[in-house]
Amino acid sequence: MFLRNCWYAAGFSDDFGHALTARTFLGEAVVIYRTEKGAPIALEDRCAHRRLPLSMGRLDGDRVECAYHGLVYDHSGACIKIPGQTSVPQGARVRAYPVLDRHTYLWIWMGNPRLADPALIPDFSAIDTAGERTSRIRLHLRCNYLLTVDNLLDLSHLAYVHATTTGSPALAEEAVVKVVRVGDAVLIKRWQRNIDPSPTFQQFGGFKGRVNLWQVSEYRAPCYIRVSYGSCDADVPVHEDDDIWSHGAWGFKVLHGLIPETERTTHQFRTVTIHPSQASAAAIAEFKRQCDLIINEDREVFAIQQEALDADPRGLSAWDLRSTATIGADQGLIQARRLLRQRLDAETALPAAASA
Amino acid sequence: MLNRDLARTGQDFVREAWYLAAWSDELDRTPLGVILLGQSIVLYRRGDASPVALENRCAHRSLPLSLGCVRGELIECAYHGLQFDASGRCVHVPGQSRPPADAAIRSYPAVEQDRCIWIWMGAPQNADTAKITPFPWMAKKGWRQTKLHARIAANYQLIIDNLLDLSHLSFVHSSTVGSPELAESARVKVEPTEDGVVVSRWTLDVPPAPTYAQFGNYDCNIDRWQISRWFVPSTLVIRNGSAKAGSGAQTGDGEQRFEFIVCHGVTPESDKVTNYFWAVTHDFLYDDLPSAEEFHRQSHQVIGEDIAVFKAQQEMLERQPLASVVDIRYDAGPLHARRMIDARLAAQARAPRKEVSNVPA
Repeated sequence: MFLRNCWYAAGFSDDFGHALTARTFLGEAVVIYRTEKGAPIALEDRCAHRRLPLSMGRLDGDRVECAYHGLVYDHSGACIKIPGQTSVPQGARVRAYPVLDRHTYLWIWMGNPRLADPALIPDFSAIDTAGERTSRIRLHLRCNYLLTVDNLLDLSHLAYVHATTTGSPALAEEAVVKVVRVGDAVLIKRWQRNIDPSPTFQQFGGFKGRVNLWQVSEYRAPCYIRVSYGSCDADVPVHEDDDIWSHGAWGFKVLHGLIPETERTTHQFRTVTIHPSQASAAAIAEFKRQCDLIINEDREVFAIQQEALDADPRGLSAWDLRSTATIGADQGLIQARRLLRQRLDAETALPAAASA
Repeated sequence: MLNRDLARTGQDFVREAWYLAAWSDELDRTPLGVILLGQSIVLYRRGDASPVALENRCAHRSLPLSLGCVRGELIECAYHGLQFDASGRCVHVPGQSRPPADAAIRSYPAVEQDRCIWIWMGAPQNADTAKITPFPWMAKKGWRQTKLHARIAANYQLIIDNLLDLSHLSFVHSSTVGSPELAESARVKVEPTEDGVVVSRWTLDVPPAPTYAQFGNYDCNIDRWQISRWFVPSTLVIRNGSAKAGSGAQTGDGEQRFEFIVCHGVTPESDKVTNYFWAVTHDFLYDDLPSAEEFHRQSHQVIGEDIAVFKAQQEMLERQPLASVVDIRYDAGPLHARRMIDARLAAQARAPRKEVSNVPA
């Protein structure tokens, strides 16, 4: 079950050029390409005739020719030519999905195209111009996207999963957590005051003694997430109403674009921007190495969680984790799931014609 | 109403038919396990080299007999040494004087013809060898062959569709046997027969496709024919040829005639897997082995391109089996074949299901 009437990050804008690229989103086969002028196009990836994926075909200008019998489709998904016959039968078309480029990502709307309002694209503008301090990471995760959302909204896991880098026991034991609903977003703010810095913060922040750390996660349905990690010396006061996106003395921010591939797999496109003090190429390279380590630690957790769900004799899905044991740290993600559930309920209440 | 699931998921198979089970050279005295229409069968050759097809399961503890060995006329199970004769009767159980009376497995009529091993999957009393599709070019003096046996993750009817609509050559095989005119301007005739359909395509006065130009040695336009004859449920013979444009190929031999004949056995293993037997046969280039080998290489490129299509179609169909499809003009032949298979299956379902009678009593 996926929210359909929303924009999902289909990838980074420059992942797609004037060539046919096959993807699966929300279980549907999609082919993406750019016109000769660069406009993005997304079509159902199957010929209306005998179902060959159109991505096996070729581009003829801005049109797609099927590799099997040469049916030609325009960018609206309409079949405009069938070799050997003069007319095109009714119904010879494939679905076209709204797509557009913004904030370095390509966004796709998997629901009713008439509801696809570009103003609904989340504000990822912070990443447009971050230059070399920004790295972009494309991930294919073997889990339902909700497991990834959970992970990013409960950063107490840093203390255990990422203990050699960003985590230390104090991140779980001594955190003050506040969950706030702001408009259509859920904010989860975590502070740890007067603790020893975790390894990554010690290394890049150059701290002499104890520190204050904070992690702030912002969630919007269905799966737009940004997270800010900051730090300062312990004697610098920080207040929970301070600018939550500040790096403090050292930190980094991550924007996460997620899109479900299937119920059991997810694409994740993350953009990581590191504190301006890190100018040296060597420092950036080392930080990226640590990011890769963190990502791989999370990936392993996701895959094992999903395998456990799949193997559960009760037939659990990622949604059912609501009903499993919850801990205090889950407050944020419980609110996030409630928000998502409301959106899903509202969408299923739409008349079929509007949600098709 | 025609079944709209092109991959025919879960559909039964026409049982009253000869199916191509193996090329002759795939079978020696070592037992060979094959799966036809979901049934596991062991094939072997007895003393006089004639093929035997039995249920691939020992009557005792169900070990596949294909793990066993052939002893003269008999096949011996690899587990406890039970021996079965060509009728499926157990004739020896080590350590006891007489096999149990009910120790028998099903046998299938099996015949070797035209360098192919054919198995009859229906009631044995109906196994008339005159109904086997003739592939005489497989063993004809002065003819060369190149062949392939591929196990393909696709329903067999997707392959039949392909072979009854050769307009796809223009797109799938444009670097070898395809040219744009085959799709754009062919004259197509669909003629139902008692046991299948013939789809004839003539494309007149067109430049030769690359393979035709190379091996037909044309420096002129050609008249080109593609005659696909399908035999229900799963064999085809396709004549592919050309002659100098306007030289009378439609009524006689024509000039600069170039032709090859392709034999196809499209044998379902299950509704999702097909054992595809394909052989290109030709008498031109008989004395020019290097050129024949290049022609064979191009032919194998063609079949590889088709197999990629079948797999991709099947995958897409399994994702969304009932999403609607449109038909085009060239689907008349393929749709006729699909309707004929559906009709045979409907008749088969209506007929009283008899107990399989070829297990020895």
